[in-house]
Amino acid sequence: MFDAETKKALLEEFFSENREALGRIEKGLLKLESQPDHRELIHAIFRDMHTVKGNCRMMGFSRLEELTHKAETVLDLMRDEILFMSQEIGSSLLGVVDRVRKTLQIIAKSGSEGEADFSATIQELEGFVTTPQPEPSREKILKEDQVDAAKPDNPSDPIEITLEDAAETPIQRPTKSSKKTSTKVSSQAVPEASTQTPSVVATSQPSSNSKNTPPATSSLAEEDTTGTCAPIESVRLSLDRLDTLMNQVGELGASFNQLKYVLAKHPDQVDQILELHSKQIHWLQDEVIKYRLQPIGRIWDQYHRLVRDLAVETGKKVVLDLAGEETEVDRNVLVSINELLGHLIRNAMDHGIESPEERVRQGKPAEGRIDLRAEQKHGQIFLEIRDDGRGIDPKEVLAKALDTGLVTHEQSLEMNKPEILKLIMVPGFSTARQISKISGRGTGMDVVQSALNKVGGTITIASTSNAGSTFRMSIPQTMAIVPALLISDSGETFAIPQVNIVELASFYGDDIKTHVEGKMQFPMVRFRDKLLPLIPLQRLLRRDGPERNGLRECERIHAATSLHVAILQTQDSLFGLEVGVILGHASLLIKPINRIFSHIQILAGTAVMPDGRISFLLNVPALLHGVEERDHP
Amino acid sequence: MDKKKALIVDDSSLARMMVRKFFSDGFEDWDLIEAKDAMDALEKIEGQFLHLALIDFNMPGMNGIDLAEKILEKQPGIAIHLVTANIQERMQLRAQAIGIGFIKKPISREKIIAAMQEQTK
Repeated sequence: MFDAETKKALLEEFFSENREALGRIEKGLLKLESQPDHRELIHAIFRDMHTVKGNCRMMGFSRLEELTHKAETVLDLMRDEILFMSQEIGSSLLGVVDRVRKTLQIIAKSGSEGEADFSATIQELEGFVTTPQPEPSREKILKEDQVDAAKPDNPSDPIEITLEDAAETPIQRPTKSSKKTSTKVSSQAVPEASTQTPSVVATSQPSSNSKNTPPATSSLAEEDTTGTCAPIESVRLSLDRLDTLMNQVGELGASFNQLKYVLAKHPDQVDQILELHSKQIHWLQDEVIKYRLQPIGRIWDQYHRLVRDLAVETGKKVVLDLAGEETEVDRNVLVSINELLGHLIRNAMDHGIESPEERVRQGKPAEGRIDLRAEQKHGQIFLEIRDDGRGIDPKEVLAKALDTGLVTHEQSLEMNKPEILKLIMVPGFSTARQISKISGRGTGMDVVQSALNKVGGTITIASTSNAGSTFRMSIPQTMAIVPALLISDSGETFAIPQVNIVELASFYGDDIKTHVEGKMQFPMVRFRDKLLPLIPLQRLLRRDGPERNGLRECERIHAATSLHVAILQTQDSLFGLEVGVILGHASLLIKPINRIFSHIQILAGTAVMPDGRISFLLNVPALLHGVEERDHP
Repeated sequence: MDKKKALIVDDSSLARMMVRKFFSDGFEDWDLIEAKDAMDALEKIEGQFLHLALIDFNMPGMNGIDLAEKILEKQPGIAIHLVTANIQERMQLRAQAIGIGFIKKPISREKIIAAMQEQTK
C-alpha cells in the first residue's frame, strides 16, 4: 500500500502517538483509583484507549487490536456506570497498558507483533464484562459493536466531555506551571465497587497461562522502566530551533574558510578570527546542551504507578507527593537519576513505610507519605526523598555492620550518626528483617551509591526513629560539557567545575602568614573576613601526604613563597582548596571515569587535554568528605 | 483549475498522517485540510469552500455527527463521510437523514476514492 519510507514514518507516528496515549491512560487510571467518580477522566481514558485501538487496527496489528478492544469495552461500561473502578479493574487495565507497551517494543525491534498471547488478560477483561448484572437491560449495551457509539446522540448528556473540560483534565502533559502533583494511592478497593465487580483471581488467570501473563504488579516490581523510559531516547526539536542551529553551523563553516584564508595571506589577523571562531563554538555548545536538558517530571510520571503497585502488593497505604517536576536535567544524568530514585522509592516502600496497622499502633495516620523534591541551584540538581516511616535505627545498622565485619569495634567507637547511616550504602549491607522481592537482598542501596558516583553526585542520609528518613542528593545538571578551571598539582592536571568556584586567590611572601593560620589543628585561610578550612589538594592525592599534622602543614604553607587557593562552594559548605598551579579556564568534554578508578570518590570524570594528556574532573563535594575520611580513619 | 479541498478531522495523528499520505500520493488535484477535533476543524474551514469531509466519529469535545451538522449548515451540498468502526442503528438513521455517508474503519485509498466519486456525481 505504501513504500518503505512512508511505512517507516507511519510506524514512527504509531509508536509516538500510542506511547503518549498509554502514558495518559496509565496516569488517568492511577488517578481514577483515588477518584473513582471522576467522569471526565473515565471519558478521557476511554478515548485514549479508543485511539490506541484504532491505531493498532490501522497498522494491522490484530492481536493488539483485540486486546485494546476488550479494554475499551470495559472502559465503555465504566463510562455508562455499569462497571465501577476497583483495584481489580485497575490492575487489569494497567496490565493492558504494560502489555501494549511491551508489544510496541517488540514491534519496534522485529516489525511484527509476533505470537503475542493476550488470552489470559482478555479473559480477565471479559470476566468483568460478562458477569451477570442485576438489570436485564444491560445485555443490550454489552454488545461490543455498540462500543463506538455510546450515548452520542444526546448532546445534553451531562457526562459528555467538552473541550474546556478536556483542557482542565489533569491527565494532560505536565506544563511549566504544574509545579506540584500528588496521587493518592490506597491499597483498598473502592468500597462500592468491590461489591459490584467480580474478583479477578476467581474468574480468570488460568494457572497454565500465568507464566506468560504475570499480574501487573509483579512485572512492574521487577522491571519498572519497561517502555516508560523510551521517551528519553528521543528529543523533539522544533524546526525553528533546528534552523537556528543550521545557520550557526553555516557561519562556523564560513569563519573556518576565513581562518584558512587569513592563515595563508594575513597571519597577523589570526587571533581575531580565532576569537570569533571560539565564540561561535561556545554558542553551539550551549545551544546543544539546552536541547539535552529534560524536565525531571518526564521520569517522575511513572513513580505514581510504581508506588501504587507496591502499595497493592504490600498492603500498605501511601501518598506520593512530587514537587519540582519542571527541574531540567541532562538526559544522560536523568537515566542515572531514574535508576537511583527507583531504588530509593522501593526502599522507602519496603523498609520505611509500615503497614497501616503498625502505623496506627504508633499513633501515626494509617496512610504513609513519600515526598520527592527536586530543585536546581548553581548548575546542581538537589534531590530529596523523604518518608514518614519507621526510620533507620543506627544501633541496628551498626550491629549489622559489626556482625558482617564491615567495620571493626575500634572504628565503630569513632563513628557519628551520619557516618553510621551511610553504612547502608556499602555493598552487601541490608537491614531488611526479611528478604523481600521488592527491594531485594541488600542490592538496593549500594546501587544508589554507584549510580551517584557515575554522575558525580553525593548523598547525605538523615533519619529519626519512628519519624522517617530523608535522603538528600546533589547531582550535576549536565555531565556532557563542563566549564572548568584547570589547575595542576603533584604533576597531574585537574579540572574544577566552574559552578563550584567562588573566587581564586593567590598570596605571596608575608601575605601568606597573615592569611593562613592553624586552628583546631587545621590550616584555615582568611578570606573576605571569613575563616575557611584550607584543604591542600596534595593531601587528598597522596596516601603518604607530606604532612598529616595540621600545624606542621601550616608551617609548610607559611614557609612557601606563594600560595594559590580556589574558594569552593558545595551544597552546604564553603572552603579553600590549596592547588599547585592555576592554569586557566576551559570547557571540557567529560567522559565517565574508568571503572577501575570508580571507587575514588574525589574524581568525577576525565577529559582529554589539547596535548593529548588526561585531566581529572574533581568531585568537589567529595573533597571535604575525603579529608574527613582521611583524618578520621 | 483550482484544486479541490478535502477536510480530515481525526484526533489520532496517525490517522491524519495516513490520510495525508494517501492524498500526497495519488490525489494531487486535492488540497487537504487537517484538524484534530471539531473546534479545530470549524476554525480551519472558515472562509474555505470544501468538496469533501472525512470526519472521525469519536473525538474529544463535539462528536463527528454534530460537527457534520454544523458544516452542512454553512455549506450545504458538501459530501461528508463519517469514519467509524461501528455505529448504532439510530445514529446511522440520523446521519442518513441529513445525507451523511459512512466509511468503515480502517480507512483505505479505495474507500477515499469511492467517497470522491460519490462527490463528483
